Amino acid sequence: MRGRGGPARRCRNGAGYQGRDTCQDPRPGEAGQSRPASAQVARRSASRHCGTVPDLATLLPPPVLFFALGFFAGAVRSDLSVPDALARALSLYLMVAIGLKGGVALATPGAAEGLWGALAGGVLLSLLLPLPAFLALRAATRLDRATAAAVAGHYGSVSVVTFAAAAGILQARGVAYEGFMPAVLAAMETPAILTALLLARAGAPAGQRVPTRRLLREVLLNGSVVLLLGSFAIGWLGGANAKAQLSVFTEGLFPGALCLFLLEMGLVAIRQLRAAGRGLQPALIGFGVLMPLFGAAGGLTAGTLAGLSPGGLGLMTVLGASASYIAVPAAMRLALPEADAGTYVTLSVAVTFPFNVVLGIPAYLWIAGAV
Amino acid sequence: MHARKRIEIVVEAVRAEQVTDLLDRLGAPGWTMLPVTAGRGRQGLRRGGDPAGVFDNVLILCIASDAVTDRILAAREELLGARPAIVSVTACEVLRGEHF
Repeated sequence: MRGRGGPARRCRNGAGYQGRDTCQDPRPGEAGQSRPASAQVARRSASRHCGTVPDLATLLPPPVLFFALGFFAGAVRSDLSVPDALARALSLYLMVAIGLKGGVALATPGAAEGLWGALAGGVLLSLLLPLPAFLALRAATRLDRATAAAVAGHYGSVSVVTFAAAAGILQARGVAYEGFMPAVLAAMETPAILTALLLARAGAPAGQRVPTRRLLREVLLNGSVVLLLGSFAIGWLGGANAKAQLSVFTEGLFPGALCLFLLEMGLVAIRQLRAAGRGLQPALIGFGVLMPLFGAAGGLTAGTLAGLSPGGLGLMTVLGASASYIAVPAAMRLALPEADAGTYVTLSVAVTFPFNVVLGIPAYLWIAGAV
Repeated sequence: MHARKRIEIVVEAVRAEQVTDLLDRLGAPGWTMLPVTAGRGRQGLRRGGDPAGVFDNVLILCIASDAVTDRILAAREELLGARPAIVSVTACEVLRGEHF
């Protein structure tokens, strides 16, 4: 059954979606669950969140556990390391897989319904989120203008791997989402950078400003955006044929690659925390935890207004909550060299990313009704 | 053997292109870029490998004549605007002077 022109909605535990936010009683043995069709089950099924409180395996899926493993290994100073080239290759793979899957899904007739609303919501979110972030940082911390603007830009942009982790959970749970969400992800990468630069403009000496052409190239043509949108276009053009050819690559390998990349991110997070964490003001750490919640609320609002399915709404919430740690740091280093890179890299990699991966994603998906 | 000058510039990877563009513009015959694994200086320990490459440094090596070297050093404001961590010049000798 399709709801509101979007992908077929699913309830937790594989139960069928009956519309109006209700789920049918899971049949005995379905999705590994076996329960009597009692009145209690019917009442629980009528609620937006079908089924019981998530179990531990749901709250801590393998990718999250691998992140924790990397964090632990770094904390105890194990010599475990992931080669830089492999980490960057995994990052490339994740972007290709996400883009391809999204493009293939969008090639399905009717799958583009709601695309423009979601895109508009995402771009607006990316443009506007740096404003409250900047004001909060200037009011509550001792950050200079350039660093505050650079940090704010990170929280308006998005994290591909946070999105990948959330998408992986939805995939494992059999929850569908709109195929165009990777395009929304790509569209949300760069507007926040422009907002951050506008906020910092008064603080940048004219002589040190990066030539506009180079900066525009970095902002608009950065690798993440090109790869995401390019893979998306290739998937859309290829459609069902591309899916048939590449499903082993884009779906079979995805969970394992995500686990490896999150292992590396755990190592990076603890390394960054050790290198710059002691210098972080408590207010900044608080910002790194609270700003994702504010961003999540913004994502939830934007996704609701765009009429997304629960899965799509969950991903939009995750996008609002995430902070960039690839595209934006590089752009900020180029455009705002006086901003303290240690602050914004540490916040996004060592505070917000772990918070989102371990605690945020399950909460965001649950609030959106996706799990 | 022919006397030349060896210029070594340690700079952030994100700004390396600014430095190489400057060298090209001022007539440097060429340059070599090497990755830097880690280093320590006035701002503490710096180790690359972060996802964005923000903390990656590179070492740009350029061998040039005295005249080109003087031009490069005269453009110190633009050179330092790229925020290199280290700029050093040493005397060296090369086998094929016509290439430098």
